[in-house]
Amino acid sequence: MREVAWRLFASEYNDATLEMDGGGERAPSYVVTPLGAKVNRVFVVGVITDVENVGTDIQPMWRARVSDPTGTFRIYAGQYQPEAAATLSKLKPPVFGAIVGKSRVYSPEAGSVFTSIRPERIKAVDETVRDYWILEACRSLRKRLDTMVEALKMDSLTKEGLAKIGVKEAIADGIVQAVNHYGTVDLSRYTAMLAEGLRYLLPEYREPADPGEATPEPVSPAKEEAPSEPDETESKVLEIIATLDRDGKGAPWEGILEAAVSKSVAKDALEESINSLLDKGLIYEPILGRMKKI
Amino acid sequence: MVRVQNAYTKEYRGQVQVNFGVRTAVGKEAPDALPEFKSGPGQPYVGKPTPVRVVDLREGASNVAVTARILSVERREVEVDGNPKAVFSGVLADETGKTQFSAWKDFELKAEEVLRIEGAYVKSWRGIPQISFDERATITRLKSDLLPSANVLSASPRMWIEDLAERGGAADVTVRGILIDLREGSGLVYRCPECRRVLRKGACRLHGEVKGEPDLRVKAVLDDGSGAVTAVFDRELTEALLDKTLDACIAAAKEAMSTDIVRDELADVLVAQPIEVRGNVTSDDYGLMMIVESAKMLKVDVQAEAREMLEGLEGSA
Repeated sequence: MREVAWRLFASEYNDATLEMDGGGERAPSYVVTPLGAKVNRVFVVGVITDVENVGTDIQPMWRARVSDPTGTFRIYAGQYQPEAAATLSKLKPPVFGAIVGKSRVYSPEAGSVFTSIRPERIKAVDETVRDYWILEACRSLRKRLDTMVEALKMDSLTKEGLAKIGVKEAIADGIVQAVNHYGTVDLSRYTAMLAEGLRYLLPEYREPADPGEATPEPVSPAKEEAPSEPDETESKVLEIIATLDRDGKGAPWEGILEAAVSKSVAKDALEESINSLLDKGLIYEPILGRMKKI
Repeated sequence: MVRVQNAYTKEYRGQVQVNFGVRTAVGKEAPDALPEFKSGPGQPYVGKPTPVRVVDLREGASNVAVTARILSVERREVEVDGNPKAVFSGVLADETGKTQFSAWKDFELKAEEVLRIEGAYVKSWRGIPQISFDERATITRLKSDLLPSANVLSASPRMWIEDLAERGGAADVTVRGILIDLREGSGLVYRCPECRRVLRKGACRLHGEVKGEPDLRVKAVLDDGSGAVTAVFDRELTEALLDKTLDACIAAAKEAMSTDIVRDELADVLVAQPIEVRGNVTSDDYGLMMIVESAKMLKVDVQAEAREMLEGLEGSA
């Protein structure tokens, strides 16, 4: 049976630290998120940036970032994903892309876990497809949140108990594994993530009428361990973005780059800062190629 | 002949099973302790029939009771063990879904009537559960207003793929999802004039090298976030989705000197797009498959749905 393609936000996916072996030789492996999504395959749509061959010419390994309203997926396509690698190498980022791929986990040392996606198919898409994906990711997140709320109410959490309240077996397994591994999950973080995703789709939250006046309530996706304060370079970049955002539609990428170079921030450092600011939720991309301060 | 004590029973897919555990004792009995048991059809069921909704029909269930409206019925002559036999088959439905049925006795069934059928059994065809009943069944005619009209019941119910996977298939259902990938053999294909199989490298698996007849089709992976099916679109549907005729596709392939161009164009139009499809879902070892009867690309008002969900979220907070 083909594995379902999960729609989930980067921020939930990157929170995952549990890998599950299906057992047996050809059994699929899974990444289990704190909300219990047991992910073997994902379908994500976001802004593809930083496409780079980190391998060699003979053995290419294409790496890229895919940003959604909550964070960034890392994708890697090598010689065993020829079609995806070929598509990636030809893309002109930044571009909206739809990716179907397999979940991967990399743990260079005990305690540190990095999730990534090994793409099967990549396609350049338009904003409509991206917006619909955000909606689907929100629906899916909402369902997991609701189920987790019920699960955490139970005195003793078992798959059988979950089956009694109508949870399918495959889903129940993920929830039990997640609670055993992550303990009691802070659901408010994910409720905030859901609201953030939904607001991203709504123009009334995107562009404040007057930049000087009340801005939409910033949703704080802040993880406790990750400081959301910008560092020095990031502060510079934030300032540039604020200055260049003259018409309220966001600062254009070319302008940011130019201004950054003149303030002696190199292109690489700039890209890193922008990704980090996106991750911290301090800026967002209202339309492709434009950055805006929250 | 044995006596089993302290066994226990469990239900599996709507059927009762007797299980022997560690506390179960099994002892021999005299061979004549019970009368001879004759199995097979024609034997009366033991016990009361189990009421089941159409959506819950599962292969292998027997002695079930269903309350449903007959949507269509026709008489067919079939051969059973070399003898001609009349079977009355058609479609019946309740509020939860539709199913094919076969009546092996003439109950004088008529379209539109509402019945209670007690003592039916469930078989399946390629994963689609179907209900059968014979002279062991009791038919009770009920008032017509007990169920919605035939028109309402004929509608194709919308289902999640995870539920279809659990059932093994279903007749005439509607699924909404995203076409996340095209499978091998989508686009402009050439078929064997003898057996209609798609040719590989100009040759048929059975009939060798033949002059293929052009056809269009799509085999795509449709994923709704709960599961995946292979959705198969025929020429007519493919032409409509592409907004291009078969002849235009052949011309385009000739000019490009490759049929890949048709496949690429299909991928452009279909992949990553939300779609609603209606058809029969069957299953085999490779998973679920839908033969699509009708399809439409979905236009979703993302903002309206997002606003509604956000309001729900803020309301409950």
